[in-house]
Amino acid sequence: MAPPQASGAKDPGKPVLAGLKLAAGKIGSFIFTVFVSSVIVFFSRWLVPGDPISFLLRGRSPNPEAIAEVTAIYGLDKPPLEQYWNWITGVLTGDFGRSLQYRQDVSEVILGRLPVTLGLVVMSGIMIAVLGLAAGICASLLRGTWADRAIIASMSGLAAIPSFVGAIVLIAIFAVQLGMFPSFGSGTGFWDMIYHLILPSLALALSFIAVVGRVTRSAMLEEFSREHVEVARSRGVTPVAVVIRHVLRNALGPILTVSGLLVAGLLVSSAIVEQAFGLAGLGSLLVSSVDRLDFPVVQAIVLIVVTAFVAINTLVDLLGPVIDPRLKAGEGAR
Amino acid sequence: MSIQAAPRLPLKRQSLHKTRWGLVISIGFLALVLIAAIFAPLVAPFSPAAVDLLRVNSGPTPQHWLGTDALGRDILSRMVYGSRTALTGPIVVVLASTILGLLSGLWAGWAGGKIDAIISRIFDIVLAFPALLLAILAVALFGKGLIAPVIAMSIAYTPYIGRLTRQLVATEKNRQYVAAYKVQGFSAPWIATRAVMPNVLGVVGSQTTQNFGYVLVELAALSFLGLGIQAPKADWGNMINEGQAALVSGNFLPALIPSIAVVLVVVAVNSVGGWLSDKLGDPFA
Repeated sequence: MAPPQASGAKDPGKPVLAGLKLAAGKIGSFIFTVFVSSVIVFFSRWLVPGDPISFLLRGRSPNPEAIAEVTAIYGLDKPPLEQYWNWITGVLTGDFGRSLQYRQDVSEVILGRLPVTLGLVVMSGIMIAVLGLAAGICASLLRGTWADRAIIASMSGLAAIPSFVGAIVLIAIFAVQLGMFPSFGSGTGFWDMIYHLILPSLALALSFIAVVGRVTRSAMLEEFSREHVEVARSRGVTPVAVVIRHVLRNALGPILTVSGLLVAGLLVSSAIVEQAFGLAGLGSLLVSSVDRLDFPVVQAIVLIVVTAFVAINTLVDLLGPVIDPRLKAGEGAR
Repeated sequence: MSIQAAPRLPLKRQSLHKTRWGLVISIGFLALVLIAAIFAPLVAPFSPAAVDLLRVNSGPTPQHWLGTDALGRDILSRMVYGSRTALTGPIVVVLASTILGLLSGLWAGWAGGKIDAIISRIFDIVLAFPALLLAILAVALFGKGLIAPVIAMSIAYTPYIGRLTRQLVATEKNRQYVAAYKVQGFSAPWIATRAVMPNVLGVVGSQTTQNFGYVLVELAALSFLGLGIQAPKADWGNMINEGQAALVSGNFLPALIPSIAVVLVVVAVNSVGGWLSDKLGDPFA
């Protein structure tokens, strides 16, 4: 390899190339992980003892038409590897097979449920970002005061509240006692849906707000103690600009990493909140499909959630160096 | 000397007691729940399944301290019996995942090279499945109840312990005492299990405690979704689910009491975990 250079900054091509290589590696491992996950999701059916037809037809009358339909959906008369190939090539073109419960294409059923779940995840994502960042920034600015202590205490309280408990408490207070929000359903039309989703999103967001708030506070405090902040202050930069440009900008790295993990967690927890508030989303579809033994739908949703989960984490990994260029130097620098 | 030393001792003791107050309450509360779970038939005033349709959704009364649910069943008795499944699930998951994680992590960290790469890849893939999702998939395959989700969660939590153990063992391996054992002719498996393992257990223990809280919440969530412990049997999660109907008619207790119990147990366990990691020190902090 090339001899070590005194200053890497003189050759801008190298770090970019290294960055691209790193990115390619991460994308490669994303594809590998999703591929193996799809194999696990598909072949998990083979873990169940007994023949596949009776497994897929649990709880349904095994009449000849049903048997013929299931055999056709899964191509059960073909060898397992060919079955997987047919399934995965279908998935890649958006064809997840047919639902046994709805007698519809799985993709249609899922698409119908997607808006509610997306609305839920986006709204609680916004709540988490706004409230979590605000709480963390306030606490770090007021470090050591009673307000800081109060924020820390309420964060530790919030962090211990699971989403189903949050849902129960919010329904009791805001839907039953105060009657401000509906406790059931997702409404009709766009604005009505947003109104119906306020309580569920908050229930979903509560414990995550606490996590983001804590991470923000400690990341901000760490940056406040850095020299460059001191320098900026002594140069006469206004306090607001110091906080935004010198502290928050640098603190974003750890906040982003945690947020990525959280958004992935939101996808799974949304099932709980959807159930509590009677929302027709992807999560409640998953639960009802497990309940009604509709395995093709279960498979599809599990694969979608796992893919989204891994994709978000990969994205956060890739975005890290873009937001915080110090990370781009990679392992070589430290 | 002795005159100066005398007044300092009680002071120190006092401050120790003050800082550990929350811990004492936590341990006391957990002991209480554990005793209630073990001696449920002796502790519970009623049978958890005893239906009393004349006293439906009653508030707290001298007979029913925490009131009754929509079928007139005593909530306190159901809470006591529900604590059995609420605790057994997480205990089994935490034990199984810790043992599996310790062994696989030890193997990966000690062997290094290809074995390390393969085990770490397996961890990555398992981590792609959120624990609750893997548990739901297991229920879809093997049916509702506690067994399938507990096995699934044990697998899902193994990489958390495994990665930590691997990291600890990999650094521990290069310490001088390991070299000293090698020079003395001890075999590698002996050094790994007898000499290195004890040094790793402390930190892993605090992670295990933390996992207990997560698992408890996730298993309760699963039962809240109606996929875990099934209806006539009392479990905190399905009690919240059943209590939700009463909630809308203004009777909060049936849903609120199991909710509070879940939160309190998690807070208590986390406080014990926090104390453990303070005491043992976090090498990565």
